[in-house]
Amino acid sequence: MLFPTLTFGLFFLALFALAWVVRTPNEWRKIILLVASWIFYGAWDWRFVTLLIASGVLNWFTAREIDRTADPRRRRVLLTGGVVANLTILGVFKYYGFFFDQVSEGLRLLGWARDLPVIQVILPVGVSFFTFQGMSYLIDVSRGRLKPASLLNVTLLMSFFAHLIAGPIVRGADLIPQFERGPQLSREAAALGVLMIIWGLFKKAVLASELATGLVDPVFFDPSAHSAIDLIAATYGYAVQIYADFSAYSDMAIGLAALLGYRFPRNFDQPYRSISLQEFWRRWHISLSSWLRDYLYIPLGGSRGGFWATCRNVMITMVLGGLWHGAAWKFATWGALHGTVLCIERIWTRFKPAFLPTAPKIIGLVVTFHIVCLAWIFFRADSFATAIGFIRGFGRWDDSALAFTPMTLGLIVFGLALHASPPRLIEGVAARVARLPALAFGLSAGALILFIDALRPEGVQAFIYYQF
Amino acid sequence: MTDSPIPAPDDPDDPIARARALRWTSTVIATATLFLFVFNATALKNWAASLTPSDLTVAAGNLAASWQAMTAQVGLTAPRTVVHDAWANGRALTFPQTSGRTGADEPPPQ
Repeated sequence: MLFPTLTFGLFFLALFALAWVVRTPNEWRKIILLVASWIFYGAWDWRFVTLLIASGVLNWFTAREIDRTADPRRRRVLLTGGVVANLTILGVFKYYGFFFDQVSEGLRLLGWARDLPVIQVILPVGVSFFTFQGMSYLIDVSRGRLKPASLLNVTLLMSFFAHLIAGPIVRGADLIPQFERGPQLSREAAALGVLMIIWGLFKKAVLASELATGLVDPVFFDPSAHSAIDLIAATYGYAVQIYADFSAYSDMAIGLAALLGYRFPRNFDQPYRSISLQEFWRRWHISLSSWLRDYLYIPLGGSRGGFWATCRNVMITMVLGGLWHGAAWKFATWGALHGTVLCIERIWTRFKPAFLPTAPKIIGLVVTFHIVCLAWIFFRADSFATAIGFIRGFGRWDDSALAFTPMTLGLIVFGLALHASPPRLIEGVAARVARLPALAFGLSAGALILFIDALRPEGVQAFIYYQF
Repeated sequence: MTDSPIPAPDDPDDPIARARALRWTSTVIATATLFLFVFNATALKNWAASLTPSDLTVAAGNLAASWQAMTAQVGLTAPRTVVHDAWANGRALTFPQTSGRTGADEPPPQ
């Protein structure tokens, strides 16, 4: 059940009505949201609803036991056990195939070719997101930042349909107090929620889908059949597509939760206006980058162990962050590229000769954007070898027919121009819209959705981050 | 609370403000839904046609098709059609090229 479909629209209308009719007692409302979330998740594969429930129960029970014991050693054992159990779920479903392939390849290289038993493991959608949420809940409870919550609150935290499939990774410390307090709705929040859903719909159904079908997918499918113009356009196109696609999901998730009375954290903040990679990671997939900072980088030692140890910790964090996206070397390469440039930035800041002037911000912006684009090639290509072939094609200036069209050019320019718009523009618009009569805003919202629906290509592609 | 774009209500415990907000939000959603039901019957018809065939979905598909035909007859589907066709024309535009050859047409290397 994808967000930008009529099936989901009808599902949400029914849920909105039911959730507000049964808003007291709060416990009943949460049960309705929980069951609805399981129906939403079960629309992909009912079998994995049990995995979701089991994961919720595991984290609820472990956190409760951690809180009950005062013995630091037992607390540590419980926490380690809980984290290992979460990582096992992730490992079995997401990394088994990758690990198996590496072992087979290693044996083949050693001349010990064997027919290893093949087990096909289906990847449950959103597994990376809900296991990370579960782990952060456990760690927060063990650190005393969060009181252990009821089974209902923990399972709803992990299953809530709005963020279940592709984030944002909402932490227990943010959402559980809201579940306990009950939903809160204001005209400003609702206006922003509706606008974010419409804006997300536009970014996904028009911007991302059009770029994907019209340029990016055909060029990345066979880079050797395209000239440098197409390859360069597809690189910029993918940068816009992945931003539009992923931020659209986050926007819609935030908007849907707002209409149900809950506040999700911001996940994107005009990432391509960053003047350094460090800034990029404060603006891109903020809930993941802050998760990696708090639960991986800082426990590794963060910046406490000296300059080179900091660089090492950055590299480990970024490579593992890359592998979080998928079990493939191309994702590790993507993470390593980001890690390397983050380290170079640190080295430059520390060792830059004093006589050199500070570069203008525009240079930083252009350089950062192109490093990000280069790394996206590895992220998008089918394999590491395809990515290398793609980059080699930048020197192929022939006159082969272009996949690049005036429309895709316009969409790329528009997607990048969004990053030059005033920060928090949509929030400002929502504050004004909230003063409109409901009928006027309803008609405008309907007209905007009609306009978007008229533009969108046939069918709906899954969100890029569904596979993670 | 981590930074959220959604503003917190000024007075979360005021039941009157909450009820007004809910009424306003419900009216917005109901109006938009009704607007789309009237002006976007084509999407409804396409969606119904894409459902797995069963007695219920076939009946729903027939109803949606009748509704679409009715709204088309009085011109309510025209705005969507005009925008859709204009966008399709824009999609068909290409840059002028020096050669009509495609990469796939190229002769194999000797």
